Amino acid sequence: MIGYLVRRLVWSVFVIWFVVSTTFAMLMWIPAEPARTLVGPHATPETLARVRQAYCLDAGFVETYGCFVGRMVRGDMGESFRTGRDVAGIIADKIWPTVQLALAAMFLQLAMAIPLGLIAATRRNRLADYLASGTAAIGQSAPTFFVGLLLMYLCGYRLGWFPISGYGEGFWDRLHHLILPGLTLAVVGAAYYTRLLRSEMIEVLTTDYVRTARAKGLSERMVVTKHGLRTGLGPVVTFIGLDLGVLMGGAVVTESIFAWPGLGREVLSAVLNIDIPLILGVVTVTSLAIVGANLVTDLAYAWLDPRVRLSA
Amino acid sequence: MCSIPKTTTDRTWKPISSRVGFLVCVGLIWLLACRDGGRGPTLKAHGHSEPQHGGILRFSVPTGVATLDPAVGYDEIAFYAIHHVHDTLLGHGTSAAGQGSQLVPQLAESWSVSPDGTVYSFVLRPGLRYSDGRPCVSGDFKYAWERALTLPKGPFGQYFRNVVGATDLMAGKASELEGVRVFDDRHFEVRLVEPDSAFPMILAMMFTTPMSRAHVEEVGSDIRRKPLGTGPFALVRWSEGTELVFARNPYYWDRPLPYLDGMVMYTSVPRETAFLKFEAGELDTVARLSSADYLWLAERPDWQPYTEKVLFMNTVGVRMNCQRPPFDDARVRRAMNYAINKQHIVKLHNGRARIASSILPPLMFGHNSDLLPYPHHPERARQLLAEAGYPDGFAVEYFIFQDGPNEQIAQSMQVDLRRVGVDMTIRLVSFPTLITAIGKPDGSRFSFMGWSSDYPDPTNFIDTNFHSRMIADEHSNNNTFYENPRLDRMIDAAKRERDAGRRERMYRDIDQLLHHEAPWVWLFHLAMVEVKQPYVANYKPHPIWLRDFRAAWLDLAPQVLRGQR
Repeated sequence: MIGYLVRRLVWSVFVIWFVVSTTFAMLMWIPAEPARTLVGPHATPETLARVRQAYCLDAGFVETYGCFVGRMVRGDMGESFRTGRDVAGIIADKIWPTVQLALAAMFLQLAMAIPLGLIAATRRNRLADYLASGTAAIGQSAPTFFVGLLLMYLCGYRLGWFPISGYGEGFWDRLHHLILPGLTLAVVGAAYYTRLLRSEMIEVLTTDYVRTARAKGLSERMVVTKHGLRTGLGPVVTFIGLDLGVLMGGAVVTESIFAWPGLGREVLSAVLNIDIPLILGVVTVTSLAIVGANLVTDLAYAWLDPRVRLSA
Repeated sequence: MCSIPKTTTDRTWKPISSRVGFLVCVGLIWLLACRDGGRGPTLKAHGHSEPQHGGILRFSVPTGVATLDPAVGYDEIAFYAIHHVHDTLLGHGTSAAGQGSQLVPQLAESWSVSPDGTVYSFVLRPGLRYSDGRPCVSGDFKYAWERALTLPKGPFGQYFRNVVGATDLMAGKASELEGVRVFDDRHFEVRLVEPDSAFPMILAMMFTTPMSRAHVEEVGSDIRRKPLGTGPFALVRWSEGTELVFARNPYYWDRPLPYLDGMVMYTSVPRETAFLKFEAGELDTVARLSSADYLWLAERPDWQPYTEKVLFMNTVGVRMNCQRPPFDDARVRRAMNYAINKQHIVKLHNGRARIASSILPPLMFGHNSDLLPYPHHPERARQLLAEAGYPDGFAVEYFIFQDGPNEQIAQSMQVDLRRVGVDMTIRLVSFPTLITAIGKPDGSRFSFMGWSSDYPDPTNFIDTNFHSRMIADEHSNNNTFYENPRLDRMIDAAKRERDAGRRERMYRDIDQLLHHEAPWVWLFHLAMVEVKQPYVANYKPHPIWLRDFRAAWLDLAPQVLRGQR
């Protein structure tokens, strides 16, 4: 198990290095001058030269790579070009709103997906199934910006149940602000989980042990919730882990529409401004989250199933 | 957890589902339709005839604020915040009083110019204080200017190049700005290398605001989020990515301004979201509406009295590289001006623009109002192209970046140009890529170009963009690479001229020459449209600052004002 763990860790470090280096190379290939975005379109060539020198942008590819990535290896993410703020500080500020949104989205999507998936599976090929599956298909195909604006218009503006956008202050106010963006993300996620749970449950409910449970005279509710759901939720739990990793990277569209001060919106602004240190910082954190979630999932599998350890 | 039916053959859900489905549909239709008639101003003005003190004004901006350091911040959004916190020696009048582009004394009580036009002497107002109560003195100007010129990231050095000793200071050859002499706390002078009639305008730019050395040293690198100024408001809180909260500066020199107790500027609120927030009463003004919202608004008579449209100091066009074929021939450039239907482009902006005839915007000193825009005349364009040796047209790539209706405008141009034989392909790039591509002689030949004033003087539009001195191999400010010794002489003479009447005539001639030489396709000047709640009084968009709330007040009942608003 330790050998497996070490191999997986080394591989994870390689993946993160590869992602960061590829991002850096792509940023260097963009035919744009980051120094220009620092000082604006009206700055003179002399000012630009001064800025290039000050921000390590006047050297060749290898030296610039050494300057940016080398600094990161030493644990220093540098300063944002645009704001001059410490990148680690920006990420620390933005990660918490993103975590809150990710957790809210996850909670809401499971709260919607589990009942819908169960209804669809237990009433297979009937109206309830068609309604649940149809709703899931619509949720999965609706673009996030459309769902967000629709929810904002209906529940925020028309009904006035929730604030239209913003972050809120204090626990209850924050929770109030969190529901619409959380729901926006959850609609798409719930659609996916509903379909996943439905197919898993359909399979599980036809297995021998479920038939045995029914034969023992257990109520259908007990059969489905106690016996079927436990097994049916297995793949769902796996995807929750991976999904959380992705959500930690920030939900660019949702955060932008709802003016939610998370990582996704920050990275969008960083990309538009070619803010190299900030982009590299966010990419590192995001890849860490995804690789970390994968690692935990793989280790959990390895722990549960010795065959994984042997074959790895 | 939902309830699970006892058996899979239970059919009792059927009628219930149908009824629930029906009710949901009815509810949705009600939500979408029946309350539409209610959209419109809800909170009316109370009807005070005199300005009322108090209340917090709320507005939003579409992006975040990069910095509040006036020596560094250069973008429109940063200016919204910075110019409410900092005042300058000279400033621009308030828009509501119709003086938006006029230069008025702010921190300077008076000022004079030497007969040769090279020495400017200033007397500060007595008792000037920063918002924390410490005094503001002449030395603070000198300190702030030296700081702005020596900061590695400071973009404003070029504007002070004409001040004696500025070049040496920027090059690290001097430790202080020799051209600024401080006599006492209220008197100082600035010496210029050569006369420059636009210099007072530069002194209204934000980077020239005084700064307290003690404060800057106290906060260190935190100066970007801890500004201390002499403006009408002081920053109370900045929750990055969410909002900036301002409170009235108790030591403000221009009493009784500001009337407001404070302002909240919500950041990174997209345009569509901002308009919904405004309609829901969460914002007091909203600007830069999306086309859909603007069209909706334009048809609502109840919002019309509260909608302001102001042309601001900008010109938008298509720049051509005048050193590379086919645009090295003025006939081709004129042909492009005739070929493109600007009327249609203004329609794509929903009428929020005015067709341009040359570089200077209508409100700008020196604008030649006798010039008529190039008419849409494809036949004349074809004729000029044939005379220039392009009877079958040519192929060209058009560089634009994604912003508002830029792409639709490009498509409209594509259709217009095809009619005269020019095969234009659209290349959509990011803004940083665009400005890099247009700054090189061998970069883009044909691209989108817009210019907004840093200060409202023709030098800012003309010298920077069309003087041959501004041509460089990389990041050229003169990005049309247009070179004309006659124009250079005219620009230099106009800059030195101190008689306002003569100077204005000189710029009118320059405007006419540029119209004829056509280094750009002159497209339009954008207007700023802002809607305010009925109770927001004494406010309309400012032609320079766009948003300037120093003289605004809230016409609400006293009890409403006291209870937060």
